[in-house]
Amino acid sequence: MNFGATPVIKDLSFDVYPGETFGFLGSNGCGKTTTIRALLGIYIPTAGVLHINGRPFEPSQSGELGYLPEERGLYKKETVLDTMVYFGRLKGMSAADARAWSSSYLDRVGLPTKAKIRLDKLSGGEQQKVQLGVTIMNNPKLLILDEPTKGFDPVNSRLLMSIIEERKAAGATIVIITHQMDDVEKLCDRIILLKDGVKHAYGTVEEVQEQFGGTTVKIEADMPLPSSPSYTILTDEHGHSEIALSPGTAASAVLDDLVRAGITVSSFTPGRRSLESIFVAVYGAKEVD
Amino acid sequence: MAKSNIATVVSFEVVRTLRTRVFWVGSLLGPVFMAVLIGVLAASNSSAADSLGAQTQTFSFEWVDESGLVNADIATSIGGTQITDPAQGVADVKAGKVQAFFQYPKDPTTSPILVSAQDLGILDSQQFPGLASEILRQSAVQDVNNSTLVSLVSGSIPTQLTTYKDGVVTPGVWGMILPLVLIAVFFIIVVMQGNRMLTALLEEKENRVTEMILTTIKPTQLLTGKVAALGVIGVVQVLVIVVPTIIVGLVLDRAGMMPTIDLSKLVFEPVPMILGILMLLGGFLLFTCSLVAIGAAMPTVRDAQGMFATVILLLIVPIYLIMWMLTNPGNVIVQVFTFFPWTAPITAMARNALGMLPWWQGAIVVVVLFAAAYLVFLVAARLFQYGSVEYSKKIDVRSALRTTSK
Repeated sequence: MNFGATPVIKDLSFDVYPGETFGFLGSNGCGKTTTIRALLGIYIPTAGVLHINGRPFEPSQSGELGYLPEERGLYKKETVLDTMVYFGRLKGMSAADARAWSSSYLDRVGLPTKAKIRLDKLSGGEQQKVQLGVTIMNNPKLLILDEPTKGFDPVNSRLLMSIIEERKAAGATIVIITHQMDDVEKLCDRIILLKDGVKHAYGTVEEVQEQFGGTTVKIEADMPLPSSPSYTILTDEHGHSEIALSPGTAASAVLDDLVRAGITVSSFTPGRRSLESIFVAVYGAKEVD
Repeated sequence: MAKSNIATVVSFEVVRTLRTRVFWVGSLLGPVFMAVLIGVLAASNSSAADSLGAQTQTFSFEWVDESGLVNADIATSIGGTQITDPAQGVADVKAGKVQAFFQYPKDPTTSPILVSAQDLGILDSQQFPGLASEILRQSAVQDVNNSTLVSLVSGSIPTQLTTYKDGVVTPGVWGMILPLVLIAVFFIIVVMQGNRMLTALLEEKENRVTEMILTTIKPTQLLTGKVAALGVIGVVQVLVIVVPTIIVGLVLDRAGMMPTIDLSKLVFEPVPMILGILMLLGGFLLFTCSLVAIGAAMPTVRDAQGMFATVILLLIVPIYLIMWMLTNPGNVIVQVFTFFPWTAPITAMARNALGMLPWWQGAIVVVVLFAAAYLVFLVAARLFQYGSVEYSKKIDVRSALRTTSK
């Protein structure tokens, strides 16, 4: 995918398996949204195509897709119900089904009296609920959510999370584009890390953690840790440190080395490297919000 | 699903437009204004006629006749008194004894009739010169005593024109009216719908709806739906203007306030009408696609206004040239305006209505209009897709057109 003569996404290819929650990760400006827009045909891609269940995606398949874009908006001068019915019909529902579904959804999210109200008369939070409703109309098999919690208040963020869980339980495939690592660790089965338009890491969360340092150890000690070829110091502040063990190094060997060096170790907890730590390592602290 | 999605776009756009007050107020304002204007003018004419009749009955004037042509019986019968001293006549007007004094010169063909009168205002005071010359005219008629000769001399000679083209009688003015109506229809639709055309795709961009909508429908299908909806709205708008106008016309006609027009004389000429309808359709599509393309390339309505004005100017300029077209149909500029897509609709439709466009030239214009509309449609769709998420800046049109499609 090029912008003018500048390539912004380079030879990127990945699979998302049915029923999984897939995290599409990267810092601001690394090409996440551009990739999704190109896949959905919003941008005209230089090359490549999105296949859903083995078929190239066409807008006519939109009943199978629910997309929550990063830039959000609806027809502000139209009523809530008219807008939802319009999108429902574009997604392949009959007008009656779209109307019934919309009414039921508005009941669920506490907006039953707002159906005939113009969208610009609703609060920001209420508009977000309507936007979510439009996204999940017709129970799509694939949900693509670009920065889903961006701009959402805590109530709507919780609503969104419950909807994601519901859709996942119903067997839907979910792609989340984000740089919120907490959400990713909670929700995602597999992830891809994009940097400068190139795939930097790809696999299950555990595989990526393994790829970026494998085992980590959180240590509480009475002095700063010395440098060692056996590990890399990820953080070391006020006696609280996190290290990534070098490939082939056992955690017990590191503990022995520290004790031999005269360091008093009060806590030594092996574990996996956090995604946030990996994210910082990949993109550099300055690039991360 | 594609076809039904176009239908969904059409019904959504049409219904929401027809639900707005702006549409109905904008559409009905013209006919209501015209009805009020005609009513006021009719009432005003009626009261002016009544007033003039009343004044004629009670009219008082004096006259001095140096020409010897004024028939005293005629002048006296409408309130005149003959005197011999012009100074007395003027003095009587000043004193308010009479409303007017007419001094007929020795030779009224070379010297004016001097009229002195009470000031009744700019319009009503004009009745005195009219009355003075009418007395003289009536006196002359009386003198000649031959109404046919008087009629010939006064110039009111009836004629009947029959014209032929290729050996066949042409219908003249009555055959031009329906094709001319098509120009009015085209003009009403484009001018009244212009802003709606301009904002057809801008609304999606300004409201950030583009990304969601483009995952449900292709840009070309969305555009087709929008253009079709504008066509339907245009037809409704013309009906909203025409139907009340006809109703008001019938009401005024029954009240005797309309000039009698014999509509049975209207002639339906198939070739000019078919060409006119095709030009109307092609012109509508071209202007709609052009304005939609401008909207697609610009981030806001404000940014689009400059180019909008240029397109509307191209529509209006030929109107100013219509008289010139009549007198110089073969002129190079007229020919260019006839075939240049954005000036063609009005120019070619006018020439077609006035019987000054050969059918084969009309056919070429129709092809040019539809071809140009199709090309501009493709450009508009490309601009929309390329710039659909360029929410805050103008599109680089060259880059947009160079970008290869999927």
